[in-house]
Amino acid sequence: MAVDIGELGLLIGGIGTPVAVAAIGARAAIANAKRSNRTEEKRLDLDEFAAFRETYVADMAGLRAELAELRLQFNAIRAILRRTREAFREYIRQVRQTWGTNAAPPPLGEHIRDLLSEDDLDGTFSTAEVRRMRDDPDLAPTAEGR
Amino acid sequence: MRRLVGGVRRAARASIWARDSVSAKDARVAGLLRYGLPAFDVFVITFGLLGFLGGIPALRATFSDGYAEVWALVLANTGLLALIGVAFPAILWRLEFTAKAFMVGLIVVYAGAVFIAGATNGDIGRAAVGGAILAMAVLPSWRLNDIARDRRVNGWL
Repeated sequence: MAVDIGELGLLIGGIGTPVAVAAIGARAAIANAKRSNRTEEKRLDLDEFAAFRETYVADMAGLRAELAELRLQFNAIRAILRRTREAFREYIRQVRQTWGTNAAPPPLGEHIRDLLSEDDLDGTFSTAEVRRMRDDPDLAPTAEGR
Repeated sequence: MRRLVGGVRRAARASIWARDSVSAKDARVAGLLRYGLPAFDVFVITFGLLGFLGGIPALRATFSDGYAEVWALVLANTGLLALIGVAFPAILWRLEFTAKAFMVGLIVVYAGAVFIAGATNGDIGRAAVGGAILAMAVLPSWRLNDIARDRRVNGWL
């Protein structure tokens, strides 16, 4: 049995429906693609951030290790400096006690000599040189063969 | 002759059946893109042509003989255009997109016509076929979304 839907029915059902479905389907597909692209972009951003964080954490770990090493060396240098100052202070006290008397000047403290001779490559603070300086007070500090 | 062979070779290289035409992230659906969708379009063309020659009863019953013929012919053409488009998606994606959109619309009309024809005759079994026909619209609908997504991902112009 044929269904009599009339001309309006033919126009709406037969022509309008496929056109409307096509238009709606196409628009929905484009909208979905935009949305899914945004999701993919977000995921990409997160991946980039994760990679950046990994690099940053590794860099920071390296820098922290370097900083710890520097701090250690700085503390060692500070300790040496403190010991040197202590030793000189002690030596100056001893010199003061004999100042203006005929007593022989105090020997250069062993601990000062140890500290000074640590990097004493030309023997300026060797036992012989210190004795020579003491025995010959007129010897200029920059004299040749000192 | 040589130019013709060269042109065919270039076309083959640009087609969906070329070796590197499907990207790694689409590897899972490579079979669908290369064979499933073209086969679907070939079946749609066949359906449209035979429907044009023999007439589609549900459309004739719901609309008219003339409408049924035009519908079948238009469906065959959408199938043909979609087949051409699916073969060269990077170049002809608009063609396939438009054809698939209209194909979905035509299938929906056909499903509605079968449902109406069955329901008005009290033939529930026939009306139920409308559901099966509507299932035909799933693949072209999916492809519509896939083309829209592919276009953005691959930067097709």
